Amino acid sequence: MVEDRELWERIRRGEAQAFDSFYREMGPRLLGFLRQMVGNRQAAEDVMQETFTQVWRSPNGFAPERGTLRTYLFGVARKRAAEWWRNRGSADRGVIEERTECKTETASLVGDAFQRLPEEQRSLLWLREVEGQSYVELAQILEIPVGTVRSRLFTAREELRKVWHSTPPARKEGT
Amino acid sequence: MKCEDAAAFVSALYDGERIPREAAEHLGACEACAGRLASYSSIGAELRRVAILGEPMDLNGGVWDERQAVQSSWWRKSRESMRIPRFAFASMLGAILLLSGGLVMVRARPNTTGSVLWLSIKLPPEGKVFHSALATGGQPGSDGLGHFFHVPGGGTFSMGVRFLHRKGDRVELGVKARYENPSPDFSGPADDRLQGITEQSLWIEPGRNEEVSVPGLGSIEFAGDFIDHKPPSFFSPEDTVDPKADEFRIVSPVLIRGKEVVFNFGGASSMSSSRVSIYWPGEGRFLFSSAPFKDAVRGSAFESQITFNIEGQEYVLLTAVPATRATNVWIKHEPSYKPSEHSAGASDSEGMLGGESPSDFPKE
Repeated sequence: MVEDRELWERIRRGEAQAFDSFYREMGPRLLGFLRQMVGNRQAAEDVMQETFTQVWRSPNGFAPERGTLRTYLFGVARKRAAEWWRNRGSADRGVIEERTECKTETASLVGDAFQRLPEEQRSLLWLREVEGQSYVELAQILEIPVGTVRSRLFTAREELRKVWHSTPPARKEGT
Repeated sequence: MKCEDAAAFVSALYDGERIPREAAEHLGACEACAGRLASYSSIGAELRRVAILGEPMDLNGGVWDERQAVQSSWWRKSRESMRIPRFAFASMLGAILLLSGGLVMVRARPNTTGSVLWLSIKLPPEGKVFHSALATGGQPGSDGLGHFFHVPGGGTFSMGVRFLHRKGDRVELGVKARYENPSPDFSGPADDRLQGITEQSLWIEPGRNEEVSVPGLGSIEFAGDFIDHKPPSFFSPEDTVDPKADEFRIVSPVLIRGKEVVFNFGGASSMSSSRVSIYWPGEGRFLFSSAPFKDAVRGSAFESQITFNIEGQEYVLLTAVPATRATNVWIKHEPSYKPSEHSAGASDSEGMLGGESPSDFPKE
C-alpha cells in the first residue's frame, strides 16, 4: 500500500516515467484479462489503451484508502470492457464470440467453456485464478458484496467442472 | 452437513478463505468433496496455463504526455466558456439537431408521467455534474442540446445530445462527443467540431447510470429522471425563480431604448455571477452590476425589469426571470467595445452574454 501511494503520488504529479513503469508492469496482465473479456486481441488492446489513458488523465480517480492501485486499474478496465460490449451491439457480439470459439494452439476445452460463462463470472474467475485477487479486492472491482463473490465463484467453478469431468483425460492434458 | 450444503464451501476453502467448522469437518471426511476440491485445483491450473500462453511477449511503451496538474474548477470554466460564444453555441445546437448517424441509450424511472427528461451529466476529469432538460414528446430530433467546454488539463470537449425515441420509461438519445487537444479555433463554425463523429445510441432509464466513452478524455456518465415541465433556465433547471443572494440572473434578455428594440437575445443566459455584460454587434457592451463601479449610472431593478437612463435615453432591460434581489443596479455602456480587441479569436458579429471579471468593474 505504501508503494502504491508513492507511485500514485508520482503519477498524480504527472511523472510520465512513473506511469510508463506502471504500464509496462501491469499492461500484459491487464491485456490477458481483457482478451478474456472482449474476445479478441485487437479490441483488448484498444480497451487497455483506453483504460490506461483514463487512469493517467484522471489522477483523482484512485483513492489509496479504498484499495490497491492494481484493484483500481482492473475495476476501470472491467467497466471499459462492459462499455465496449454495449457500444458494439448485439450483432457484433455474435461475430466476436464466433471467432473466440475457433480453436488455437493455446485454446483448451476449459478455456472454451470459460468463454461461454457470463461476463461477470469470467471476470471473477480470471481475476481470482490468474491474478490472485482476494475476495475483498474482487468485491471492490466488481462492486458486489463479498458474499456474492463467494457464491458466484462457486457457480462459475461448477460450470467449468462439468466440462472438466466430461472430457477424456488425454484432452485435459492438451495432447 | 450434506455434500450439497458443503459444496459452496469447497470453493471458498480452495481460495484460502475461512469456512465454518462444520463444513471443514465434512470436507475432511467426504471423498466426493475432496474430488471437487481437486477439480477446482486442476481447473485453476488450466486457466493459468492458458493465461501464460496468451501473454504478449512484449508491450510497446505508452505515449504519456506530460499532464498539467488539475488546478481550477472544470465546472466554473465550462460555464464561463459556454456563456460567451452564445451564437456559436446556438449554431452548434442547431447543427446538432440536424446531425444523424449511429446511436447511444439512456433509461428513465418506472411509473413516471413527466414528458421532460432531466439529464444529469457527469464529466471527466473532475466529475463535475451539469443538468439539462430534453422534451421527449416530439419526433426524433425535436429537442437537443449542445455544449463545449475547456478541459482543465488542456483541450476542448464538445458534445451534442438529441432526443430520438421514448418507449415507456426509457428514452433513447443520440449522443455525439469529441475531445480535441489542442483546442480548435472557436471562430470557425461550431458544428465543425462534431462533423464526422459517429452518433451513439444511449438508452436512459431513471435509477440507472450509463456511460459514454470519449477517446482521449474518459467516460461521461449519464443519469436521467422525468419531470413534468421544461424548466425556464437552461443552465440550472433545479433553480427556483427567486435569485440567490448576490446573484445576477439574465435569461433571454430584451433591451428596449425608448420605443426601439436594441436586441432580443432569446436563449442566452447568465446566472450566479454578481456582474453581467451583454455585447451586441453595433451596440457595443452593456455592463450590469448590483454594486457601484466606475463610470456607471444607477438604475432600478424590479422583478424582471431593469430601467436606467444613459445619455438622456431611457432603457428597459427585460429578462425571463427576476434578475436580482437588489433594488438598485449599476450600468455602464461602452458603445465602441469590440470583443476581438480583448479576446483572441472572438467574433465581433455575434452577441455575447457573460459574467465578467472584476477588472471590468473598477471601483469608483
